[in-house]
Amino acid sequence: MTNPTFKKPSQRLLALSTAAMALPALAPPSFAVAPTERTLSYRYTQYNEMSIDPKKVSSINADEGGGSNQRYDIDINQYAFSTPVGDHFSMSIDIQDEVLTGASPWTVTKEDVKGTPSDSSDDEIKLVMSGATIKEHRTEANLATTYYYSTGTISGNVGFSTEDDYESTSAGLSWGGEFDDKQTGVSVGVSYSDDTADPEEGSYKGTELGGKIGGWLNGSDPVVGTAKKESVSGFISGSRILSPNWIVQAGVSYTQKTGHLSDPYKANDKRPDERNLYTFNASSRYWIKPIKAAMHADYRYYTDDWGIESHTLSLALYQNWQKLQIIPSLRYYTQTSASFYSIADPETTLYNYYADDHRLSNFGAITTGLKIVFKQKPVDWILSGEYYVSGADMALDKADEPEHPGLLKYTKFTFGVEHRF
Amino acid sequence: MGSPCQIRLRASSLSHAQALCQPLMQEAWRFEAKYSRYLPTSLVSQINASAGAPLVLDSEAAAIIDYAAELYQQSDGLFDITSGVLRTAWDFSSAQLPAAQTIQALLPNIGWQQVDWQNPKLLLPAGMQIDLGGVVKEYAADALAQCAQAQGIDSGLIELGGDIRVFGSLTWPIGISDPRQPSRPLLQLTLEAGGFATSGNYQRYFMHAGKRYSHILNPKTGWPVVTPAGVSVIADNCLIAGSVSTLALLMGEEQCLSWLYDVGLPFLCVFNDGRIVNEFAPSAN
Repeated sequence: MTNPTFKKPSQRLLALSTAAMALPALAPPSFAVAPTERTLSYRYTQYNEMSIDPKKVSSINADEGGGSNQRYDIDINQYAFSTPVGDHFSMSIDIQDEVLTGASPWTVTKEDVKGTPSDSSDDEIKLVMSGATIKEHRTEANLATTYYYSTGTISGNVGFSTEDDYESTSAGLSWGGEFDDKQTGVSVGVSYSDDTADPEEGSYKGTELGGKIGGWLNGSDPVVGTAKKESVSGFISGSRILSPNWIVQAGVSYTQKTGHLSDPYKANDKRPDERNLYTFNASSRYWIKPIKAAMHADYRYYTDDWGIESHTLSLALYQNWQKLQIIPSLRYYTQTSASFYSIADPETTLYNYYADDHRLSNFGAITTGLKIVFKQKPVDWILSGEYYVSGADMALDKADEPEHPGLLKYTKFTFGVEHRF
Repeated sequence: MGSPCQIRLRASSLSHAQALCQPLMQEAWRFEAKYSRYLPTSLVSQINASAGAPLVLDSEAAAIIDYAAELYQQSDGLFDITSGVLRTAWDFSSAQLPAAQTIQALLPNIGWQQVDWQNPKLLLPAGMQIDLGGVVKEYAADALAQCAQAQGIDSGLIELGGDIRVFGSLTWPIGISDPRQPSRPLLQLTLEAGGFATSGNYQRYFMHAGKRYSHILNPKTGWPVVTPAGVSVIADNCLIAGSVSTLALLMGEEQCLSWLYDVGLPFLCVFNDGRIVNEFAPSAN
């Protein structure tokens, strides 16, 4: 037999367990203890967006030679190393190198059955794709350090990211503290990032395409020289141990983005130069002793002043079985569209701002995932897969707009290995 | 610890296991040296010697006192670390009942509520004594397990006088003997990471005029409690298992079952008349 579990823990047991947790040998691992191990890890991820039904792709193409129905494939290599430095510090470095190939939607157009541009509401909305010639290489490095003291931690990080036509620098600072016999945790943080884009041909394509597609295409938000944008963000969150088996956490964040926020690789895209984003999140971690598994439940509410409102609900079961940890997961996402988004109404282009990016549309998505970790000390082997599908009919709120033909389906596979020493 | 102890570890070789045991045995001796009321140099003896004057405790001792104070609350005053002085009146080897006046004279020096405890400052009123025997042995088993894990030992069993803590990936067989006939095995079960403890009245009791007097004393009256013969409990750690089985005994034969069900941990309770309530899993036999 295994340890029997009789019924749910009583108030008496809770009181005893809480008192016992104050004893040094029984205290749950505290985050304010500096790590004592070095960790070296590698991960390879293959992200594949599924190709689009050719019937949804316009014959018009950003480059000559016919519309591609292939979308992005990204190969990602991640390397990470972390090490304690003395008794009170830890340092970590992460390097991510990714290669992106494929095509992306430039805009949408209405076409009749012969492929001639049309304004009729009966006709289908099709994607105008870039040629399958894009190949981007992006490298990102992050350096972080944490200082551990008796009742909390202070962390700082800097990051750099570079690709052919884009550079980004970021920095963050956060503090975490514990109170009330380590039953309550509070953390606050701020971060800043500065991005510079130097689109190769991006902002001019829109104008060229305008001629091909017809009357109502508005053209992109031209970038003169380089496009800059900045992001400032802050968060505060609190966690509480409710019982030896249950921890809950909640937090809010605010982010302000300013600068050239239009997408230089879209042909019909002009966005406000400021965006204010707000999130609220709540999570619960519950240890289910009889089955030796932890139930993770997370909810996130997001809203911004572009009119997008979203809800995300994630559930994952961390099931331990001998040397394996098996983690099935399910995530539901739903969002409303940005106020200036439209693919159906040509009149939209009369407004100051407009966009036909599927990411700003009204849609819902479901992600199913399975992750398996094999722990063979001192090495952990990680294998995970994820399938994502999105659609307008999966959204919580139904919009008047037709479904964007560019809504994604993708798969993501990761292989990883982590060595502690 | 005043009783046989054992450490079992999984290691690559016997000599390696023996080497790994050394620091654990040192840790066990540290507990003995610090908390034994029989050693004049122990912290407990120092606390008892300085009764009447305030003393500042280290964080480990303070946490143990805090925990004992919680047990006092949870047991409605039946678990009381100041009740040790009653032992001076009850001599279990002579099988003689103490005079009622002797007990009465001791009662004013018993009662945790009289102690001024403001973590980490302890002011024990003059004439009073504390005895941490009811919690330290169990806690020490947990502390040794933690110490072993910190050394990288992936699986093991620590037993300090019948109180057991198992850690890591392996499961370990545990035998429970019949509390009325300790040489007779009653039940065998397999314990995975967690604590197991047994409290019983069979170790020390005497019969007087046909009545069984156990060494479990009610600190409010100074007289023995009519306890069940033995209670075993499984919990996440040895300290909780030990506290729950000890408190169950203190609740007495009448109250112990409802108290055990109220706590909600798996238990086995054997009564003096041989009745057994087995609330381990059905497959435990």
